[in-house]
Amino acid sequence: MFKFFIIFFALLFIIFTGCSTKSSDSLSEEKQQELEQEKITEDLEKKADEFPVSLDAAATAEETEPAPTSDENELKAQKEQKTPEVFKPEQQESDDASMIDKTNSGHMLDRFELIPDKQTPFLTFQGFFDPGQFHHIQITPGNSKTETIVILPNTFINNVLFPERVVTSFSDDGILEKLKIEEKITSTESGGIDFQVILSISSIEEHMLVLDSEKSDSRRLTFALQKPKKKKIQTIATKEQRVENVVEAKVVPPKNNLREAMLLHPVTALMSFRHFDQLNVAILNASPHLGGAQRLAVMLDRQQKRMIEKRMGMKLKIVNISSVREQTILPKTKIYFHANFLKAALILAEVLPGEQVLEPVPDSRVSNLATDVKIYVGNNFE
Amino acid sequence: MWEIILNKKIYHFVLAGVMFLAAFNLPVFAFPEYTSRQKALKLAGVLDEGFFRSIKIASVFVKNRGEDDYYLQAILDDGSSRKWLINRIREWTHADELILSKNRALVFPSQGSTDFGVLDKNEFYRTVLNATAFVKTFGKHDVLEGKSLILGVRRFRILQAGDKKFLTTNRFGERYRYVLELENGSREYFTYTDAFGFLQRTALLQEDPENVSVLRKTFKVRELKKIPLQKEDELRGIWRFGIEVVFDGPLLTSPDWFPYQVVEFKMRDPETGRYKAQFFLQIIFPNSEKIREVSGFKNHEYLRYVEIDADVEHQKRVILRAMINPDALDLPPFIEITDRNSVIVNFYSTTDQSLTQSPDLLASHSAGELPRSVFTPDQVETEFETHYLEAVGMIRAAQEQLNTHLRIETYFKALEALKQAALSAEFDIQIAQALKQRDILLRTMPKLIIRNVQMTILAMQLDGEDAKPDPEMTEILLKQLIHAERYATTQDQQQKIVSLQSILR
Repeated sequence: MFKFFIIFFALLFIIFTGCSTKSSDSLSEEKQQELEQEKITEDLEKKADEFPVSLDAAATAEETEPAPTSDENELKAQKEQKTPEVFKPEQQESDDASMIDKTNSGHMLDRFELIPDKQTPFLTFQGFFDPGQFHHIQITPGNSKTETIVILPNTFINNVLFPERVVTSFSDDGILEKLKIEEKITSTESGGIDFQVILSISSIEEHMLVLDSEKSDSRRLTFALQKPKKKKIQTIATKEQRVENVVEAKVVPPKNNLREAMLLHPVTALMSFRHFDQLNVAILNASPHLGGAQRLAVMLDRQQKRMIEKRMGMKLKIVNISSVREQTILPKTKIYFHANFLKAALILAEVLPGEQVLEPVPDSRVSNLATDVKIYVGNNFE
Repeated sequence: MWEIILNKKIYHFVLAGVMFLAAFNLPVFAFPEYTSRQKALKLAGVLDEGFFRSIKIASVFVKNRGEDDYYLQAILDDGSSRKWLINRIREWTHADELILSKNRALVFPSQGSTDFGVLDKNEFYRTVLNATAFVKTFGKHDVLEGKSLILGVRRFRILQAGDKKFLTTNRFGERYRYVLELENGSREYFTYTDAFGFLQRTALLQEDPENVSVLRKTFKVRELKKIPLQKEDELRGIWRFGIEVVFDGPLLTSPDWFPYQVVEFKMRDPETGRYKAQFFLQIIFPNSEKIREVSGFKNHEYLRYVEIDADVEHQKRVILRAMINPDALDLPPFIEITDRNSVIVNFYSTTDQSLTQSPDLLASHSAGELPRSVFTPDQVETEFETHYLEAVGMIRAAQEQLNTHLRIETYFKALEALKQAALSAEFDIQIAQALKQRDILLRTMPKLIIRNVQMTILAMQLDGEDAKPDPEMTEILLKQLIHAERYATTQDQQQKIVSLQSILR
């Protein structure tokens, strides 16, 4: 009888040690991504040249947690802690954290240039870049208000052209004070190499670093150093636990300048947009069904691609397949489209099974220009 | 060993274990169990002297399980010592089992993150009781996502037994605690986390903002009117028609508060019995009500079954809905607010399908990222933009000009502005667009000039044979004809131009 208990507890112990380090959310997410990944891999093996989504993406979306160590250090709570707790803004939209092509492509930094401007200076890195991976670049606030950390995954530094690791020789009237560049190369458990570059950018005054996708391409990567448009509000926290958050001041109506007015009017907007030969589509699973995004992607890519392309007059490229981590389940599939892509979105809606809702991308989300259309697969997709 | 494993009793244990895990697995692990050292230290400080299930917390320590995984160890007044994982702390706060000292509440605003905040309820009450306006910001996946309305506050209450959402929770398991009754008749139910968020983003205003109107009552729909089809753009052959939605008072907001969406419904075809996709265009009017019957229209150009309805899912919203043929919807609708208490929803129609396709540049075949529009993403106006915007402005202004002669002269000025824009262009897309607009103008102008000269000569003839032609005007017309001759595309136009030149000379 005693042996039964020993075996039973041993089993439970093994299971618990496997489960306890990760949440069910992340587990189900991982499982979902693994399942999606397996299916994608199968599809891609059959049709490697046609399907545009990279293979080993899911691995990057996972957060690996360190193995637990047995030593437990005890720390007395510091009751008079005065350092403010800072709520970190979301580093990137959760639904974007999915497919990264880590296999053969990446970035190489050769040199950098600071383009001064009174309104918005630009920090440009020259070298070789994969624009498809720009949306995986992480921009986070640093230790101080004037510091910003940029993580460039899959990036090397050209040590010949770019030997400096700390640059402080900026002009006195410029915005930058210090640029620290760190290259991290680590070997993964699978024997591969994981490489990234971490930029630590310190400015003289507070600024907001934004990836400028329109000024970035395969030969340059540009960040705009924008003056913060947001105001800081501090409320309700005690001295021990002061919480700061950056909140957009939305009370003031947006300025409607001539350019915006022109882009808003459908007829004058016609005179400003260029024609695209490719529609970049992201598919995100916002349904409780596993693999919904993947199934929709396969359906679009295999069964309907030619017909859609013929009707739209554009190539269809699925640039991202992922699931939404925001615990959102949409009753109906939703198609968000950027300006000038209403027609393309309507054609997609006609092709997709079930009922769809189409909406222009909200103003609060328009910064992600790499994707023309985003499909959130809803509960009604079967 | 195998005898033991294959013994039937072992299956009972395994089954019990699996069931235990399955039951444990769902909500418990939905939130991280461990946090960073810094956050754990701060959380320990916050929890100190609070109450756990009515027992005072004597002291809280921070412990770690790995390099980055920290949790708390609490010693209660009854002498017991307890291990507190972060996810458990979060659950206890939701169920009021863990109460902070000094009338504060612990909140975890980000789902899936151990970032936390402390809501000082006393301060919140002071703020909300003094608030005159509430900034309502619409959440994710709402058609109004990211937009905010400022609504007048009528009354704040703490939810009590008998209230609609008393003891109910939101989808994250947090209890609704308060209700804010607004002057437009809507109610906002919110949790401690929501209250924390309101304070964070200063959603409760003690004074009305100077530059934005506070909405204190809803806009009530009175009637729908048809706006007939009219020419919008003579250069591209775009036509416009519309629906005017008349309200009971002035709309104290801007057109971008009225977004549109297209909704697909599968409806059974009465003839074939098959389900067929039907598309409905919906314009959303927030802070609006339909309190009486408003008749719609069965047809208006390419719109079918135009009607206005109350939104059953959202408070104080009405929807203008019309069935559309997706093939006819080339351009999105455009909303205008008039000075006669109404909103006009403009729809556009065109027979030229190529209009929605701008010049197909060779450069657009490259894989690299190219600018989407002629404008640079930063807000600095370049020289190109100045000229291009000027040209577009002149083209639009010319189209509203009834006097053909003045219209042609404005087009000439627009041509000059386009030339300047092309000369100052920095990207292919910019020069291509400038040249495209120039070519559209040049294609249309000979026809316009011929008509203008014909009408002028006819007017002179009607004045009588003795009427002396104005030499200055004649010179201008001749110049226009020279321009028309250069860009005339048909033989017929060429002949007419020669004939008109001879008459004028």
